[in-house]
Amino acid sequence: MSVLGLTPTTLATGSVWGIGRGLWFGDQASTIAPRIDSLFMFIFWVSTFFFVLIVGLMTYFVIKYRRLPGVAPHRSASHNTPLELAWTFIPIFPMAIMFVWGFRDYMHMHIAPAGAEQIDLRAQRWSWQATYDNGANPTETARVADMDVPIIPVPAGRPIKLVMHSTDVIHSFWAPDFRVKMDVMPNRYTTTWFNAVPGATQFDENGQPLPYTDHYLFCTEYCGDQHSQMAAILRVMPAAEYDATKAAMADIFEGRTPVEVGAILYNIKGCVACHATDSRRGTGPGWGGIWGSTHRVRMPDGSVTDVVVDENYVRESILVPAAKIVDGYPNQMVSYQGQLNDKELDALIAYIRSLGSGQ
Amino acid sequence: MTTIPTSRGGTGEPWERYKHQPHWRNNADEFEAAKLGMWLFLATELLLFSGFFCAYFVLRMFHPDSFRGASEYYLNWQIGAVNTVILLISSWNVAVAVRAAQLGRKMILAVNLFFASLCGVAFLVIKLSLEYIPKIQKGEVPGGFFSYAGGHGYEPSAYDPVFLSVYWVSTATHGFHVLVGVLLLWWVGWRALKGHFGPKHYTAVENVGLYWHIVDLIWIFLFPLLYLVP
Amino acid sequence: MTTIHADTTGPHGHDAHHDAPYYASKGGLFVNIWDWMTTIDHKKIGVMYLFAVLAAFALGGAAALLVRMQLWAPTTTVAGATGEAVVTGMWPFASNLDYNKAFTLHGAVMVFLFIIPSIPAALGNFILPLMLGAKDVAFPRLNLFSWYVYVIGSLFAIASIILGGVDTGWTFYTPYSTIAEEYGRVIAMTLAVFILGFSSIFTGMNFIVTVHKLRAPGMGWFDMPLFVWAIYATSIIQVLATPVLGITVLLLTIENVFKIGIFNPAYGGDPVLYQHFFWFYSHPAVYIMILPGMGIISELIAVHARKKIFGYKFVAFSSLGIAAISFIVWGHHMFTSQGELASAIFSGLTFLVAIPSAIKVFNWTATLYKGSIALTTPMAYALIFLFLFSIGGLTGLFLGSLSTDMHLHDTYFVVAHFHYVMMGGTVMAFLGGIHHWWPKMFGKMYNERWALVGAALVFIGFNMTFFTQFILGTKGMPRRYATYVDEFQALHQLSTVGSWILGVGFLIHLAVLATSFFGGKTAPPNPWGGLSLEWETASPPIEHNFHHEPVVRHHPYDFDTVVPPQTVPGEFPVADPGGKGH
Ligand code: HEA
Ligand code: HEA
Ligand code: HEC
Ligand code: CUA
Ligand SMILES: [Cu+2]
Repeated sequence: MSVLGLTPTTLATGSVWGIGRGLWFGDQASTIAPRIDSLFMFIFWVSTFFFVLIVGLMTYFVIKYRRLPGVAPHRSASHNTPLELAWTFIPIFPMAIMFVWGFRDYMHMHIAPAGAEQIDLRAQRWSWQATYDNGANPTETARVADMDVPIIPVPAGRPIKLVMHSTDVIHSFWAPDFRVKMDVMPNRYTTTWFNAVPGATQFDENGQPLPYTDHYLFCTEYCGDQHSQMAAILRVMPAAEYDATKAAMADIFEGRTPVEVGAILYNIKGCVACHATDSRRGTGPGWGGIWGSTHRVRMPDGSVTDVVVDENYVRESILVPAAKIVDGYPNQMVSYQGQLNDKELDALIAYIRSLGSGQ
Repeated sequence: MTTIPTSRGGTGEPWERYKHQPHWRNNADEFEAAKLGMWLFLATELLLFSGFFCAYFVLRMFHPDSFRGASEYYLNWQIGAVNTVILLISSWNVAVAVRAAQLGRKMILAVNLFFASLCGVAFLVIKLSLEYIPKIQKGEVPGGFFSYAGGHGYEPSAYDPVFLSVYWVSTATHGFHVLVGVLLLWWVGWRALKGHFGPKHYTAVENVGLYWHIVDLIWIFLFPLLYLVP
Repeated sequence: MTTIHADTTGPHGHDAHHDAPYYASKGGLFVNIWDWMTTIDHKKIGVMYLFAVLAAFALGGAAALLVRMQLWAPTTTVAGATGEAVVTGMWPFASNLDYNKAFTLHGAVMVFLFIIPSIPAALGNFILPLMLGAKDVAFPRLNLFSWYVYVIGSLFAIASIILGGVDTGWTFYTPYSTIAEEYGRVIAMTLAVFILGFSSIFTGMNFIVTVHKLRAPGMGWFDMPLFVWAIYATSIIQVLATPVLGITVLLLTIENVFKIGIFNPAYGGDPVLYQHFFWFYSHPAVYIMILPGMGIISELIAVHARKKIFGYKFVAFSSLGIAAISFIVWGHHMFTSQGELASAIFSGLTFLVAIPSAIKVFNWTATLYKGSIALTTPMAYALIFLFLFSIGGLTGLFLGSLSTDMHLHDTYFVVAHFHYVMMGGTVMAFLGGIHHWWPKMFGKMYNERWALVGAALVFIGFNMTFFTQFILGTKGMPRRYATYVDEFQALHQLSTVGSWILGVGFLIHLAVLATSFFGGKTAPPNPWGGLSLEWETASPPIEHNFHHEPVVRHHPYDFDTVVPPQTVPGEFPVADPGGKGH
């Protein structure tokens, strides 16, 4: 890859404005990305022109007309209306292009093509939970910014419409390599769409090219403690492979023990954001060794009692977290009522039990 | 300051001896400046309340039915109307007071100021005793504290707390302004009695008067919006 | 050729103390403290503001350096020697939460405590009445009151830190700011902003009335220095926009205390409404920040290049133009959260607001043409301003354009943009202005050479800190991130090193100014050969500013024809009518 961005790809896309792109941008992994980059580079070159003009003239004048002792300055015009009108109106033309170009692509980004496949994306502090049209959820995770985050498969060459919703505060979906961003609101659904294309080839540890490319998904609306770790991976794969993966994810229990399923749910349902699997303290208590131990909890009426961590308590903690608040922790956990079915709850309970019982 | 024929003069009252602050060239400049400053301040007041109006319109746009129902059910337009009339009367008093100051009629000035302030007090008393206190008792309070259980065949809608939030915040802010206005009226009234104001100097009367008119004006907007939702 | 009779003729029947500098001692220590605390002299109030905002700047700057330290390395959890988990890269903060509090503190202090009051309340208070030939501002007591309001507001802000800090970001977006567990601190902070807003409103009102009513005889609107025009335009924005901020943070405070539901979706409110409210103030606020800076630049360039400002009326009216348009572009901060139609309108208007700024930049450049340019520290800062503000403003175009903002919103590109305009624009102008009027304010000259060294370091450090952030942003680094993916580390480290250079630059400035304050050479009344009225009085000015009310006989930028007041003949030669030279 060259610094000036004069790579075979930029030349191939035929974008003259692409010169210099490499300094600014990473991968282009969606159909909209080259269009946005082109506009960016257009604005960049217009700006460079004006910047060089101004700073160039300024530097020249400062040297040419520096003050010399005893030398009187010239008399020179202190205004020139045609000239001033010129530089009032000339910038309007490049700006009009920027506006129309930006608006066109923006509308394109906002109106999903008919028949796009839908993926539901729920944002919750501090995780992304995708649900496919067959009810499947991602099952694999990757490590990003020191957090286990879900890998969300998406097909190459097929438009995907995201229907997004938050259960708490505002979050924002951003896939930098797709150049797509949209806020995720707590009181309504927002949508955006993209048509992914494979990015630059990626390689495994052995230097073998991978059949897919991974791209970051970041949260770009400040949402608290782990805002910077609220990420996911969008895995762009050929459509056929995507369909197979999606089908395979449909039944998470297939071929897995409840504990294994619990471990997956722990990651993809976002428990990982607040709970450690050892005894470390996070936003919530670590799960390591809590099974069977006695916890001091605050009741809604303010009284304090001791409870033993067992199936019922854990179940209640997940479905009605506010019912018993572990002493010393904030009431920050949201209810998972309706987000986990009974089987999944059992799997999570099994998983917590498997993390060892306490003293 | 424009010279207005005065009915009395040479009484040796404090207003005749008034001398502007040292950085002004003359009393007239100072008066004009104070008035301009007051207008600017009133502009900020209007903008402050326009925030409520915007919130009101946006939320009403989202929940038109519940706003209509809530307004009709929770608010009694007669009380609002009485208060409107009270404030209108007081505004008239204030206008008379300013004129009296220009003419140097000390007693007319003072009496009108006190009467206007009485109107303000009446407004607040009505507001508190007929609206605020019963509402608090019934739990018709905003947002998270809303606890009105319904009754009289009325089912509170999920967005009643929103309407009540707007109602409480805007009327309470307005009420606070009325309270400040009453205190200001007492202050100028007291100074009027001491002979501080006359044709040559009545800056404070003028400015407090402007303030009071604006407070009324804001109520004139609030009243139909809150009490008379069509 | 007109010569001007400067105000040097002595007291004429006044008491002797009228001749003393405004800050002359009035007695013992406590007498003096009392005198300053109760003063209604705009000059003293200006100086008090100057120290207050510099303290705020140092506080915000310290937080910034800590923020940059944290971003030196991403956080990682590794297995320790005994198998336990060890977190590395977490320094100086122990957790994400602490980092979040630090950048919130940095942003809120820099915006509300520092940059908004900085130029108008400190330099404006001191210089504006002098430039108008007035004895004081229109409402001196209100002026003192607004200083106290500022201090009380700042105390609330500091209280919120002592209570444990706020982690909402300076924008206090709902619902995050209304569901926080320890909302007491959020209340302290939003109340602080509310109170500071009043201070800002009072200052603005005061200046508007002063400009209308206290201009010296003979000074028409178009004889006013451009700094006055800029402050005037700023004041209009302050008066018209700040109340909306007031109501916004008031509602936010009430929302936290009484759980009302205007913004909180849990009670049926709308969080996007909050964003509209907030930006309706905070976009005009960015012009509250930049316009006074632009006013200073007009003065610096004209005086230090000894050139009549090119296109005075265009520059003056563009200030009003910016003020007017600034009220209708707020939606460009919300392209990702509002409807398409609104976004399109706001995008178009955003481009429109760039035009008056462009006019100014072109006019300043043209002013340099055929000037007599002295590379003093103020001029150096004016040039730095042109360089940095052009970058900052032009990058605003990338953000104003809809589709590119989809990519750039809430990334480090935005962070870089606003540091280039706020720091590269306003702070550079402020520094230039401080050096320009320092001799007038304190009657002392500063060491030009060391000040230029400081300016050079600031320039280099600044670009290193923030140019890298443009690239970080386009490459995918979101803002308000306590940690990040490894790819970004190299650029982050460059940026952090830049912030140290910047810090050294500021320390040099601090040392230069402190040395001057305590032992500098006595300043002449008109060291730069300026023509506006503040140069007609003594340095430092006497208590009542002028012995006689000055009368204006020439334009503030008639360098071609007018010999500057109180200068040695020939020190600042006027242009020879033949038009030769160089
Ligand atoms: C001093 C403060 C200041 C100033 C002056 C500006 C000036 C401008 N700003 Fe900036 N802005 C901020 C402070 C400021 N901004 C802050 C603090 C934020 C972020 C807030 C937050 O989210 O925390 C922000 C964010 C921000 C956004 C939102 C980004 C996002 O969050 O997605 C946008 C979008 O349109 C924008 C645009 C502009 C534009 C078009 C200008 C224009 O006014 C610039 C005009 C200037 C020029 C154009 C340069 C000079 C002219 C020339 C060199 C001649 C050639 C000119 C042309 C060809 C046009 N700004
Ligand atoms: C006026 C406004 C202003 C100024 C000047 C600065 C100055 C600086 N800012 Fe910042 N910044 C903001 C306003 C400002 N900032 C805002 C509004 C935000 C957004 C917050 C949010 O997201 O909510 C932000 C956010 C922000 C971030 C992003 C945080 C994040 O999103 O995670 C970063 C990161 O690098 C940063 C860095 C810096 C640095 C290194 C400086 C340096 O330039 C600082 C240099 C200063 C010093 C080193 C102090 C030294 C001073 C002295 C020694 C005394 C000097 C005395 C005299 C001269 C007499 N700032
Ligand atoms: C936003 C952060 C957050 C997320 C996400 C979260 N929790 Fe919690 N959790 C907490 C906090 C804080 C507590 C302690 C306070 C309380 O009891 O509500 C807690 C407590 C618990 C407890 C009681 C622990 C004890 O030691 O007594 C259990 C069990 C639990 N959570 C399970 C889950 C599961 C399962 C998930 C995911 C499906 C999850 N949590 C997701 C924050 C979170
Ligand atoms: Cu979710 Cu930031
Ligand atoms: Cu803006």
